[in-house]
Amino acid sequence: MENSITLMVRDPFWVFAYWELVSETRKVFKGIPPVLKVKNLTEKSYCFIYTNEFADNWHIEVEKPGSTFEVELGYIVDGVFQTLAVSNKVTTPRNSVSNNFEEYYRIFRNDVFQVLKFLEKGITSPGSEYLKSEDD
Amino acid sequence: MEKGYVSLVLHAHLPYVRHPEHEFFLEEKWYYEAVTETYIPLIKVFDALIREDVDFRITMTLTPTLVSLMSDELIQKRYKHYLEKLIELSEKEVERTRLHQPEFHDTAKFYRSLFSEVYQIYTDYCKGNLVGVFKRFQDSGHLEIITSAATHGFLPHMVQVPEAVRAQIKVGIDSYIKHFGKRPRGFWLPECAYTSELDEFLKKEGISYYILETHGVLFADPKPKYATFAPILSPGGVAAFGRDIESSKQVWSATEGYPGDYEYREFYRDIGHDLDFDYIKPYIHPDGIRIQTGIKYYKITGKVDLKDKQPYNYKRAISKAEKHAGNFMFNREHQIRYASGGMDNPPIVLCPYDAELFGHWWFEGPKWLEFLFRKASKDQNTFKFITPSEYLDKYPKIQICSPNPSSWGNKGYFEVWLNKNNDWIYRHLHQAARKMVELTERFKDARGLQRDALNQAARELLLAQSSDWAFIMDSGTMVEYAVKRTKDHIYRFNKLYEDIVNNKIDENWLRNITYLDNIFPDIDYRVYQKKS
Repeated sequence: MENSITLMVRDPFWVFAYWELVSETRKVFKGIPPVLKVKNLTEKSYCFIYTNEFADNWHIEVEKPGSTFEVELGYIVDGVFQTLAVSNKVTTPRNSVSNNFEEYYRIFRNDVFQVLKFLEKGITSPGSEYLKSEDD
Repeated sequence: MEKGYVSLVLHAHLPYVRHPEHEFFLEEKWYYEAVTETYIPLIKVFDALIREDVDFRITMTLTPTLVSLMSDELIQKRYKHYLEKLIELSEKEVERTRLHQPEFHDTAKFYRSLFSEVYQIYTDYCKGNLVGVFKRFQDSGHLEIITSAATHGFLPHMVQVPEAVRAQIKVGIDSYIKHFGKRPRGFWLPECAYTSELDEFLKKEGISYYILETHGVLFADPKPKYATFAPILSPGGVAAFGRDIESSKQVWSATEGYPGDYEYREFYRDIGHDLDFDYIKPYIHPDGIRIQTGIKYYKITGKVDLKDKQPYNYKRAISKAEKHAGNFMFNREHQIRYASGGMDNPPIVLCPYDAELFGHWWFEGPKWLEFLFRKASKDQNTFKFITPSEYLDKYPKIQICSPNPSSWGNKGYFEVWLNKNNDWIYRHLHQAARKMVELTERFKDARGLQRDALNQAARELLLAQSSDWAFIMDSGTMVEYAVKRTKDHIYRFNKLYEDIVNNKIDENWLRNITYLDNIFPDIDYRVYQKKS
């Protein structure tokens, strides 16, 4: 067993974290609430959430659809955040229509793809991952 | 020449509710009711349409847990017994209503003949083998059967252990191949719950398409040019069809939709609750708890108390179903004429519903479906029915977009399966999944008893993962059952893990839980091998 934190997606505005702290860690930090460092990797910003001493999970309101998050679990001692575990990364769903109007098409042949570059609107993105995959 | 297509998809699913340890088990009744009210009525409709040469196409999920129930000998035997009791009750009702409630007498006679017919279809026509009958409809080209995750696990809440996702998908597909003799082209994502991590596994298993809630497609990126009137292709290479909003509401909504019509049968008023206790006692819960019997004499009537409901009239209800089928057809014609205007390919209107809505919740639903197919084949030529894979074969040029993570649950995302009522389960489910991967790594070529224990551990993990348990915990009814199922399977898994690791397998106990949780007899635990 080791200290760990797992992150899950609930909806465009909320994620959920649960964690395990080994008893030695709990003993060392007795009386101090675990802190979550919630990092928005899309915006490159973060904030801290003070949980409570006995918590082992938290519903986190991140308020950011379509953004990628990672959470560090730790304690703040003497004003310094000490990381004990880092979560997996998750991305919240979008909650609105995309404003990207690019059009790429493929011919779907039950497993065999023949790629069509479709430039109806004269938009092209040579670096697009979709187009790159045709070289595979 | 048709201007577009309608694709009806019925999602038939029940969790694995088989309880050999008890003579009577309330949750097994979910299955018996669904067979009587939904699956056999649908078989009856398909058979009649085929015999009369009516051109129709429909798609159904038969989930691996449902197929396992349908194929289980004990469940088959118990279902026959259940029907025999129901027929016995309906015979008593004919006599009782003749003397005491003449206003229900015709309906009582109707139930007697209905249940006898169901019995006859089940025993003579199906020979107890419902899966075989659905397979025949698929082989004749009228029905496309798709599969789902092994135990209807909620896949986006499983991606933390990718091997668990892969196993749910692979075991579901293997079960399909075993029962239907070929690979499925479509995959029903449990609860229509999608996240991009799933594509890799689905693609690898040769899946062509899945179905998403409307905003899974509408909010895709880039913006899909034709909204839900055309499939999109995920960057992972699987086609996604989006649920059409308009047709969904017409059928799905209990208030605005057809099923709420006042002439239709009232679901909640059942003689199991209404009749004298001593009379009804042999047909309810053996502990004397009043439950539904399936005999219901009232119509929805209006926005009135249950006690003020008026007698049901089957003929009037059926004529309503015919009108509603005509209305549905008319609306689809309009919708398709309108949508086809600016499109390269003819539009597809995809209408997914829970199969159990038809017959179980909406008693007249199967008749509605029959009317719809009959009318559409002779009264219009604006659209044709099609299955998603037929559409893909006909119109293979598809826009590439990343579908949006979503589900068809309340609020459209993952909250129903992750909130204060059920969030505690995921710690245990993820831990068990990681342990299962670890076991597979440590015991790559197990034999004999050890292999049996590993295979059973895989079954217990899969059974614990059914999305139904989290859903029920959130819904607030039958919560105890869902909690018990989760805890039982996790407990059994954890004990197996300890026993295997410590080389102390308790053979008698293992045989007993293998008898209790006998799903997927051919499972190979190595489906959990570590992902490279």
